[in-house]
Amino acid sequence: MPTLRRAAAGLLLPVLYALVVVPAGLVTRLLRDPLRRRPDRAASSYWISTGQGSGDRHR
Amino acid sequence: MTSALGISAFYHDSAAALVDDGTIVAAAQEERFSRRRHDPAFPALAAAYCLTEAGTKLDDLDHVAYYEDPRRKFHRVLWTQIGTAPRGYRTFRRVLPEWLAWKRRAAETVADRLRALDLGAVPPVVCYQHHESHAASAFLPSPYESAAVLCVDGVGEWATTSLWHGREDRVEPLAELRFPHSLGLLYSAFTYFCGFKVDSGEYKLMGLAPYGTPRYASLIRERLVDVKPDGSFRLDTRYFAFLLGRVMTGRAFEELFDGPRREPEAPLTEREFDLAASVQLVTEEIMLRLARTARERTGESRLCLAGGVALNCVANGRIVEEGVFDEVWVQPAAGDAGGALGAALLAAPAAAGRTHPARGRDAMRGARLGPAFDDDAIQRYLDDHDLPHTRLAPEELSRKVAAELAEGRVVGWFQDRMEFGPRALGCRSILGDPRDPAMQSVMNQKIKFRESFRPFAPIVLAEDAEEYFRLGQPSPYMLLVARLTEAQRRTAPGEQDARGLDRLRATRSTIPAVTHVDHSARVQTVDRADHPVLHRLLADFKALTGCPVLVNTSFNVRGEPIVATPEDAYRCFMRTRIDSLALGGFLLHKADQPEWTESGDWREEIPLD
Repeated sequence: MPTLRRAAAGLLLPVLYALVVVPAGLVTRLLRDPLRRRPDRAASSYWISTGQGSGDRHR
Repeated sequence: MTSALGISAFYHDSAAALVDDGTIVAAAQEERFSRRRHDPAFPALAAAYCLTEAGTKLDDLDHVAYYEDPRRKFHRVLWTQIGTAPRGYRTFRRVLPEWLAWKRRAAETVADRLRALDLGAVPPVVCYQHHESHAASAFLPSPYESAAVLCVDGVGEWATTSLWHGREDRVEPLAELRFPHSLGLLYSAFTYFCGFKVDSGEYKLMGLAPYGTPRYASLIRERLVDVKPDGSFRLDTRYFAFLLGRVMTGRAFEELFDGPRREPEAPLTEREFDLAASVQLVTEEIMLRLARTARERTGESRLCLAGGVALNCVANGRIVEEGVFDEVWVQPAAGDAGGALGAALLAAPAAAGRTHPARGRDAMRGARLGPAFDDDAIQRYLDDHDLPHTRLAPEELSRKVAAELAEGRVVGWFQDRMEFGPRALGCRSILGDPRDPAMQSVMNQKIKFRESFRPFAPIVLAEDAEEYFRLGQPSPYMLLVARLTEAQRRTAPGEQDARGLDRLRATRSTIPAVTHVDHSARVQTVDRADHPVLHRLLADFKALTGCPVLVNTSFNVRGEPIVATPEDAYRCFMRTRIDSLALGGFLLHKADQPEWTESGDWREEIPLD
């Protein structure tokens, strides 16, 4: 059974990655980089407010 | 009144902590019981110990408190996959199955594992956020009524750096920085690149820094990390590889820093010294700016620190030295193990509120929160194994050990409850004479079997600390580095010309065994009220030698967890060149012991750290 599951995962994972993750990644990054990977030299601060009322505590 | 069992697990250095009505009853890391360093497994043995210490069963507790939010962490893992596609398939293949199978339901896994202990019905599991647990562990046991709180680490769910305001019995969030922008990961990338192990070799990099010059610091600031005046920062992730796989750095990093990474255990070169000095300097600059922002945002004059980066005692020392805050308190278990404690403190606050700040004390009991062995138990162990020993009254033992230390002998010191957190603070310690110039290399190479460049830390009588170190405040948990006072410094002939590890050989102070090449030392101050047994030993050593300082290093060899039991201590004593062992009220001498034999080479069984 574990062998069967491993084999299924081995087939399923590349399919899932190619058909779901890659397109989702490409489309998302057209709109916004979810990881904000580049520094923004023009910004004055990178702090994200988490205080009460900021509404951004849970991403 | 509420009580809770805190758990941190499944990443690094798992631990359990038991809190009853705001009082910390017990806390310990799993590695000490399983004997596997930084054990990430579910802390079954540590949890069972905490329950035994409290004399309670799971039924009697109100909550199990887990130190992070698995669902939110899974959210970060998924977004990282989306953010890195199509280049992250290798990570996707490795991490997705385990996250789908059980990691996203880690809270349920915790309940299942506790149920398997058969120690009563498992109370509801409540999850806190990773940095919330750190912030609670930093502020709630601190000796302050109110304080600014700064947590800095690798990553939990999303937060990598967070700022809080601690008031009365709560911590209020103010601001945070998020993955992948992480000071902990920046430091770990250099740790990896210099050939040390991530999540444990960071100490080595910090120890290496004073041998080098920070010639790469401007390159780090220009290319790797953009730091704003308020201390917030972003990494340029193009230079790092941690988003895509198991390694921290790749070709872009190599091109920036003069070639491939140093292979583990390969000889150290000038480049590694300078890389260590550079990343350490940038880390200190960022920590100072973060601390200044914490002061501005909260208006507080005291700072509490936690998170793995708060174990960077050189950076902590800079915050104290620069006077950014009037006083700083660092959670002794600042790494992930301390998250178990923070979560338990959040789940089981004292009904009457925090009362210890009014007494001017912290609530950590000197970090002595682990198992103790009374003299009856130790006697049974010694008798069962027929081990020659002498039983002594406490005062007599202290005087005898002080005399042996003054003669240059190295003593294993096993007393009281085991410490919680990565440092041995005088309960599971190896002690030596700091005045002996040869002591550092003897202890490094013949006792700890570790690299010769690594410095040792001093313990000093609190009342004499200012005579030796420019500290300005207590340092009970060895988490502040301070410079030696001018009066204790000595100039060694030829010291100015020496480079790299050659600088090790110079005698640069009255206590050379604990003086680093830049005249700094990672100090632990020992207060009579907080640590009476260790205080007495230091006072006896001072009475004999005039020196109120001893070398204190953890009771283990390289790569092994600190000893937990008398059996662990005796094994380490016999495997190494420790001369004497003080086990509770018993003194054992190496020369009297039966021959120690083991099948095979025990050093091959302990993985390198």
